[in-house]
Amino acid sequence: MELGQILAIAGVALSVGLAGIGSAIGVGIAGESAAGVVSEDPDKFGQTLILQALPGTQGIYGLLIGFIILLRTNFLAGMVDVSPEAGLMLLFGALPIGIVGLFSAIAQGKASAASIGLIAKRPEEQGKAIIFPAMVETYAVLALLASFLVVWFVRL
Amino acid sequence: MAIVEMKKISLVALKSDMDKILKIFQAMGNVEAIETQVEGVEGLRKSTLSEVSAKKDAPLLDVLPVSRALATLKRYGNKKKPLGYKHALGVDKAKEIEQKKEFLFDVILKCQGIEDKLSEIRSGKTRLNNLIAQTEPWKALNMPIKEAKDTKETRVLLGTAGKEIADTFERSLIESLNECWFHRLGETRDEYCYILIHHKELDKEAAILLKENGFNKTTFTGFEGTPKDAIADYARQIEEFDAQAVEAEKQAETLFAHIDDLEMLYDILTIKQERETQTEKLLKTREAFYLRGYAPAKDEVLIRNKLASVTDALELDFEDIGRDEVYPVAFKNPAVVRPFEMITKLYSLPNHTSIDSNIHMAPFFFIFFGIMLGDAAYGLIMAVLGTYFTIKLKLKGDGARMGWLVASLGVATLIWGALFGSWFGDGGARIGIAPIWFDPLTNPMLMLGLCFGLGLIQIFTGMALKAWINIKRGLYLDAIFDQGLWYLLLIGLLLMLTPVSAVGGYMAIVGAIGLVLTQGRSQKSILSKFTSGLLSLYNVSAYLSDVLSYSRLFALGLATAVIGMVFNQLGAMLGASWITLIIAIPILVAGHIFNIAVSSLGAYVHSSRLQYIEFFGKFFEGGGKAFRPLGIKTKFTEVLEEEAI
Repeated sequence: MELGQILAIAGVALSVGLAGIGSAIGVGIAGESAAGVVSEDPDKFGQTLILQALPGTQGIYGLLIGFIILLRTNFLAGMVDVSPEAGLMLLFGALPIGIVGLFSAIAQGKASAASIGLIAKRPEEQGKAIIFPAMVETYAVLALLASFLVVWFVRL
Repeated sequence: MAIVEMKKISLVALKSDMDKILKIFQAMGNVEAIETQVEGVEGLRKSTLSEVSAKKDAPLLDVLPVSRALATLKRYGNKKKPLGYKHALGVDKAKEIEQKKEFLFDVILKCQGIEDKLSEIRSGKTRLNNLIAQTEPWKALNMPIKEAKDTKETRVLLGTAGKEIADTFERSLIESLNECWFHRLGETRDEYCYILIHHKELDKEAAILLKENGFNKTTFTGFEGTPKDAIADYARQIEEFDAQAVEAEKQAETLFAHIDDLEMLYDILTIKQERETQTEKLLKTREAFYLRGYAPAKDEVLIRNKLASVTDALELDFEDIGRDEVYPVAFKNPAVVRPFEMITKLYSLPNHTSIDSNIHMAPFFFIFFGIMLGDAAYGLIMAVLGTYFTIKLKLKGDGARMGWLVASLGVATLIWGALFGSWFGDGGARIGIAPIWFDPLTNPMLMLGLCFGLGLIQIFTGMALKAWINIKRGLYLDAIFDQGLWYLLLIGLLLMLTPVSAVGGYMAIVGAIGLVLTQGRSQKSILSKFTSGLLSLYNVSAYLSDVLSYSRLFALGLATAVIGMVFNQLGAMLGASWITLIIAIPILVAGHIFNIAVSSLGAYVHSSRLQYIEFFGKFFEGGGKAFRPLGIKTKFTEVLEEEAI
């Protein structure tokens, strides 16, 4: 086991871990609101569930970057050699989606919770309610792209 | 294609023809009545719902009891109808239901009776179960309650005291009351149940002691024998209730035979109620009524002919709508675009002076969703399921739009998936299916370029639509200054990245100077004209961020592809023997279903966002009011002939 490989795996851990934590918190925040609304009106289950799912994507983005690092280092079938510099680059490449994923998912969870409140009062405004949390996600998408480009093009 | 052109319709006719005329409107489904107010005319007044419906139909049948009866029957009845089955409602059937009305009303009353009986049984059983729970701890008391009374010399007490102080309580009883006997009969969750006997002389001391230790006297009402007998009695009563419930449910099951008729009655009444709600909006005198509303201009002749076939005692007018008047908005689009109207409706209806952009938005939504989900196999599944259920369930209106939307987005996904060579993630690639165009994973820069290119096209389309709105309103200068100059600047900037960068440079400079000179034209002083002109150039960054926003097309497509790959990898790691296949197949099926659900939600949300923010932001003017004509809405039936309603 050499340093470069360890750094690469640290990158996997951070992108999947941090973004996953963010999504878990975000989906949790939205879920609390959704449960409250559904307790008043069980018919709103479907509508609120969609909003609750929105902050879940960051975790998926994190997994995606982690998986690509595993793929590039051929981890699943005996890892290839990774120089310490390349390992550090993979680690830094994983950070955008890890960090932005963590905070944007929490922020998106709050926006989702507010939109769930919107659905409670005006169920016909589903289209608008979805857009507010989706605005937050833009930055996770940009971070995902940056992370992807780095981990995909790093020369091992 | 366009917002439907409307005309104002006004109609005066005899009240005796009112229901006939409304039925015709309802069958055509193209007239929306509006609240009518005429000030200062003697004898005109608003009709109310109750006076309209009260005149015939005694006993009056309302929709609500019918739907309650249906709910009752469905809970206890058991007949599966084929998916999407609808009763055919023709003239004969409607007459039959009409004749059966009295009988069906009786069925509804019986259903209500059953429901009342069952809720009575439920509350009775709850009460009995509570009584049993209360009496249970006293079961050890082997004497009738009525005999547990004071004797000449002694006091007999039944009661409870907290478990945590039981030891001290009992010790102080022994120490302070020398002439006493007590016994723990049983226990509840936190209390013991005691029988306590002491000499009457000790009343005072006992009272103080019991109070100090929180001793609660228990009195039994409702029975006189032993607690054991009482519990047995309660249990017998519960059994009786159960038998009655079975009886009532059996009765519901026999009544279930009439469910088809009740469902048809429900729809007939809904249709009628819809009509009656409209009559609230009419004005009427003793013999005539006055209706005002909107109807599509193209239907004028149709409406005239239809009404003429009923009566000639009417005055019907179609009036053009004035320039500044607000009128309800309806879309008219080719069938392929119609499903996409839902996307616009979820945002807002365009204001009546604006344009219907569905036909411009639909192709973008189609393409974007396809790229973001971007998996041929998923697309095929969506297209097949969407088409199957829409046809099978005979969906109508918004339901049908939704179904066809899913189906057409499935087609888009299929196309892009095939172009990108993605079948169940990398499942296709594993068995050697090559992409028709290119694989975004191996050529990400081309993919990003594709996204930004599509983004530019959509943004320019949005600007063109705004220019078109301006031209339609005669604001030619606005179109030239606000959109034309921006076109010049943006296209110039783009050309600077190409070999003809010199041409691009000149275009950009001309455009920029033009914008500085014109964008402040609404300001008063020369100085503020200039500064707001200069500041408007800052919008270049807004256009840049709009274009960058389209990178989400790639990111979400990537997400679908990689999640699919993760599950395929999991399956592949198990190897390819028969035994591992049994484990791998459920993993693959569940994983790909999960991927379809999550990724199509993401694709839908982000395609919508690109329309709402990046595209509609350029030109859309919302706030339109929907056209809601009087029509036929049914739940269980399909109306075959107009005359049936």
